[in-house]
Amino acid sequence: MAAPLDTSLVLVSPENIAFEYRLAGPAPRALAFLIDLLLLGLLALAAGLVVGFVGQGSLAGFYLAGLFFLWWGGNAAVEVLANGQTPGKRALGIRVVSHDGLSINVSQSILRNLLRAVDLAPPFFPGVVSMVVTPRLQRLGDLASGTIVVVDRRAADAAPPVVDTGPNFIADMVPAGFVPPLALVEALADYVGRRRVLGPARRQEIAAIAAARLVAAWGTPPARDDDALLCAVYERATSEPAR
Amino acid sequence: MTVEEMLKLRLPEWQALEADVAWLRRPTFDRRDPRRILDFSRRYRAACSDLALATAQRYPAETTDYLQQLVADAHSQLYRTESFSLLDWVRSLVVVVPHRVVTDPCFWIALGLFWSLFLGAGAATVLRPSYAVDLVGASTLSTMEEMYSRPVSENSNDLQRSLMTGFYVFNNAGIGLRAFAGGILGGVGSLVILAFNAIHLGAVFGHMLTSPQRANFVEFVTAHGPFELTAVVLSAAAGLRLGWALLDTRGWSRLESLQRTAPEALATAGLATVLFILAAFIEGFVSPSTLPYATKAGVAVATAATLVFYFLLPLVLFGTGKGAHRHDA
Repeated sequence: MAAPLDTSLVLVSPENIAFEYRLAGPAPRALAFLIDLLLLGLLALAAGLVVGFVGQGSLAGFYLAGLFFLWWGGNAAVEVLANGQTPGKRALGIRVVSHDGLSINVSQSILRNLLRAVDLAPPFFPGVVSMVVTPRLQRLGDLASGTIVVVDRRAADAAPPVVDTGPNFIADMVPAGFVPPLALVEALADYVGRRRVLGPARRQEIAAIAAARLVAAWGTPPARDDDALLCAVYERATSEPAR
Repeated sequence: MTVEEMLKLRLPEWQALEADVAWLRRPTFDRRDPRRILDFSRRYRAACSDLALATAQRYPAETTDYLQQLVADAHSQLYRTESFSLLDWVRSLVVVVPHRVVTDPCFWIALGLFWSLFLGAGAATVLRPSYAVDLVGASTLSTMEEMYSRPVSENSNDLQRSLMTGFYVFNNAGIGLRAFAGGILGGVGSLVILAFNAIHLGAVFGHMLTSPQRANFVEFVTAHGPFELTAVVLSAAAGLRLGWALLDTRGWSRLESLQRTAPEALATAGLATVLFILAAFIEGFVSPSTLPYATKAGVAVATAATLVFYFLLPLVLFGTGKGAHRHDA
């Protein structure tokens, strides 16, 4: 199967399972950064008001030192604790992961956040340039620490799959020796995955096109129910012997 | 078994795996529930084989997408970030980092460059005072002269000292981290920041040492000098190490070389930050204090001796053998 021309990344796990990550583009990442920046500003402002209100001068020193750690290390700390998500990233539904698909570790997180100083340096904004030219949309901090930012899709957000292969009273119409070609099975998989959202008439209309060809190839009389015929073929192709 | 029957059979297990993932995601999940963790890994492996089957048998896209996400979610929980050990970091900072720094040419290049530019700018300014104006500008110089026109311990209370300590952390350590980060541009950013600071400091020193405020200036800068100046050099050295990894890849791809070197450079930058913070406390509380100058000079000697001891002891113990600790950190 040819790789899709898309911003996705296929990783192979130790279990030899390949799964796909969708890479997050510059726009959601910039927005996530702005949200984080805003939160940081609000936090600094609130702390500043408290320090000013208490009026204890010695607190001001702690405030400035705290600002240093917050500015350079705040994002990194949150990323590590929240498994690759700052509040901004959470809001935009994106997540930092290591390029091998694992969670990022402390030094990766610190490094990528320190290097933001260069990535956002005017006038050339090297990080933006880097994001455009690298295949995995990485800024310099990502390149050095070996991280990628991916769209965070959670299984819980997706509806559990329901397949309705419909009536199979017509199964005996499919000739016993018929092995459907792969392209047909793929097309049928799309069809049965979607047929439950289609009305009966629409089902018949779509199914008729493929069913007419099948019937012609088999030399059998046309089916009474084209939808059921396609379901029967799909079932034949994908059925496992009972375990 | 049809696809429909298969889904009906497996769906409860998948939903149980979803619940396990949600449970593991909670920062406070009960680590002492080994049975659930075993169940989780069993379900994860089962979901992996379900995904393989679904892909091979051309299940509907909705099903394979769902399984993809489920497996990816579970995978990121099973192979979690290794736990962070502060003790390991401290051990690395005490034993590994100093040895790596002194056996790294980048450190010596940064050290040599800093001191030659610093002393050069200082000497040039002493010989021809107008250089100072050219290099740092007249307004900076007059501010400095005014700052040191009175003894440094005057007008300085505890409140101000703590405020200034915080400011030095924020400002100086921030410059250090920027010098490190600039190294990713082939080391150029680090060199620019290092050279700028060396020349600027050199010109200010040269100017102030020939001015009437000389005594007050010297009294202020002595105590924190060794830590602060070493920290500047270390930050740039860490950045140079990062940039050099892009040029001399030691047989790896450029990206691989950068990623392998980055944790080492980061540790050096961490050491620089520690030194900047220590220097900030000295600069905030010792340098402007009413302590006699001898004490302040003593602090400078002690901190300088500490640095020499810190960097040279591992060298004496382990020799100059490169790679002895290269990948320990």
